Amino acid sequence: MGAHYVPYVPIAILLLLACGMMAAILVINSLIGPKPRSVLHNAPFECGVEPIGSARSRYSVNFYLVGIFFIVFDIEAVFLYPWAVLYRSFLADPSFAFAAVAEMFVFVGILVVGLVYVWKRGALDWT
Amino acid sequence: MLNDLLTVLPLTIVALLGCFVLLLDVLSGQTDRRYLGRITAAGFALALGSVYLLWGKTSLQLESPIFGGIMVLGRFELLACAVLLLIGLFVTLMSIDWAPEQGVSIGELYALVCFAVLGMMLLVTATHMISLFLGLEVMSVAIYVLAAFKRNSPYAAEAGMKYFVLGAFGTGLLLYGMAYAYGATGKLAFADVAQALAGKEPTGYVKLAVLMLVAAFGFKLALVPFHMWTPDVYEGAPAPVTALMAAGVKTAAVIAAGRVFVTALPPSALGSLEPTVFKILGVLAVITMTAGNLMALPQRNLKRMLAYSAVAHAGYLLIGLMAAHHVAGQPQVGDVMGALLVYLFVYALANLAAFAVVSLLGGQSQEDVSLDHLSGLSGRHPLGAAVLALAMLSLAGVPPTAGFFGKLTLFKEALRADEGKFPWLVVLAVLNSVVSVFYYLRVLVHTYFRDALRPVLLVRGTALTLALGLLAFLTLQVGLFPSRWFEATAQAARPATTQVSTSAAP
Repeated sequence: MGAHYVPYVPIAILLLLACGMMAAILVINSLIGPKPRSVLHNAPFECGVEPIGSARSRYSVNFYLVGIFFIVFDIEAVFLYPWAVLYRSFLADPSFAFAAVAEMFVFVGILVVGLVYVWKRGALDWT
Repeated sequence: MLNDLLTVLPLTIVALLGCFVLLLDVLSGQTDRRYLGRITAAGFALALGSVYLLWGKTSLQLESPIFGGIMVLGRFELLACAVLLLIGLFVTLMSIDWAPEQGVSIGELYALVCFAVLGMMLLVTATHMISLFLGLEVMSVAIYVLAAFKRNSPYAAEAGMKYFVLGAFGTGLLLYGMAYAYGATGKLAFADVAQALAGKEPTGYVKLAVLMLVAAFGFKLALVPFHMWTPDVYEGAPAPVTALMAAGVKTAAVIAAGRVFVTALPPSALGSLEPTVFKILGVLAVITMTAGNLMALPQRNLKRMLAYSAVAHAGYLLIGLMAAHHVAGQPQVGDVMGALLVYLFVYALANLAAFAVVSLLGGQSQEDVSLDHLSGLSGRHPLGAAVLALAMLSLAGVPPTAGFFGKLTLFKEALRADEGKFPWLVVLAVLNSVVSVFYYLRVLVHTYFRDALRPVLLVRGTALTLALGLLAFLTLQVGLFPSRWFEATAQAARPATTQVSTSAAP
């Protein structure tokens, strides 16, 4: 092992310790822990209230509408950040300054169309 | 800047139209969505008008690259855009009455058609890897959704899924090809890539890039080893959407492939790789036309038959692409691309007509249209039968229809461009056309000479009738008076030539 790796030795030791600790807790617990067996113990814990119905019911998350929301807000931020960072350098070229602002407004405008669409389609109406 | 913005007016109109229709649908809250279709059709007509306006404008520098060289909208591209807009118009017209009959009264249909056409227009104008990819994605994503548009139909779901998985795979290959081309040259604009490659021995990266680009366009064009999705998707997707796929996607993909293989990877850039590429494309063309035609012969489902016919036509088109690639950088390339566009136009007309008739037979959620459904159509709907007959004759390339001139021009230009290098390809294509006549004419036999076997509910509506009438008129008009259309492509070919040859020069 080269000298290059020496600073990382403590990290490797920590990693080993962490993994060892985790394995030890799991193994020791199953070896020496008490093992009560009853129906009550196998039921899911719900703050002491008796569980009603199955936990595996289906509910709609309007997945594709949430997906559109994600694209509208996330992609907007992804493109706005670099644009904002570089904005000062765009201003240096006066012929490009207006286009730089206008293009971002067009981009956000397209996203607003998407936002209005999902809103009106009922993406915020979770029932 | 202003020049650039004015030049892309047709694309802007279609983009705004898509957004407008989308918002209008959710804001108005009407359940009968036929008015959205009418607005969309009017919008496409408006965009066609803007193409006509730009065509005559000499003050705009049409042939020069715009937006920093990522796209060009010269006369050739304007013509291609006009063809695509026409396709969008007809798809909209045939959807208006078809959609309520099929129980898919969903407003997004028209917005997605607009976005798909917008993507196609971006694709045919792209001169840069990024704009090409953007156009391809805008088009493909809209069409993935459209293919599965009849949500409660298992066939449509299968079609959407298959088209999505294989389409995404094809797109992935294209992206890899572009990445390797970029890695080999450090350039993304097509002309720069050609310039960086010219006169050098192709490295492994270049070979990989070419291979992947050929495979990717193979998927998009449905060339034979990559055609597996075509019949299932054509059969499962709703008829107007299949029309959009068969006519629009093919037109856009052929022109984009032509531009890549003419301006980014011309023979001068491929060097010692050129004979291999030539052989690969030649073999692909031969097996595509032959296998497509042979597999179309036993089909009794009209949509499957048209899918295999689309595969066969992809083979003919590949000969045109090979010819364009062969003469890249010479003035002649404009003529070959013009011939390809003429062929694509008449092919689009015939396919739109055929799928308009399939839409016509789609009353009360009927999906499958087999030859038996066509029996006795001539008695019940003479216009539909006549349009179907014209479409089949046009696809077969029988003289009074447009298809004859499409084939004639394409094969003539291919023979002129090849300098005796591949006349056997054209001979094989002509022989294949003879084979194809069998299954095209069988449709006519069922339409005109058989009695009705089972009751078929027809879709009735003015928009569909208008589409059928217009398509019949255009098919005959191009077939009987082709000179006007050829004049337009010749006019478009001249400047396209100069632009291509200057940018592709080493």
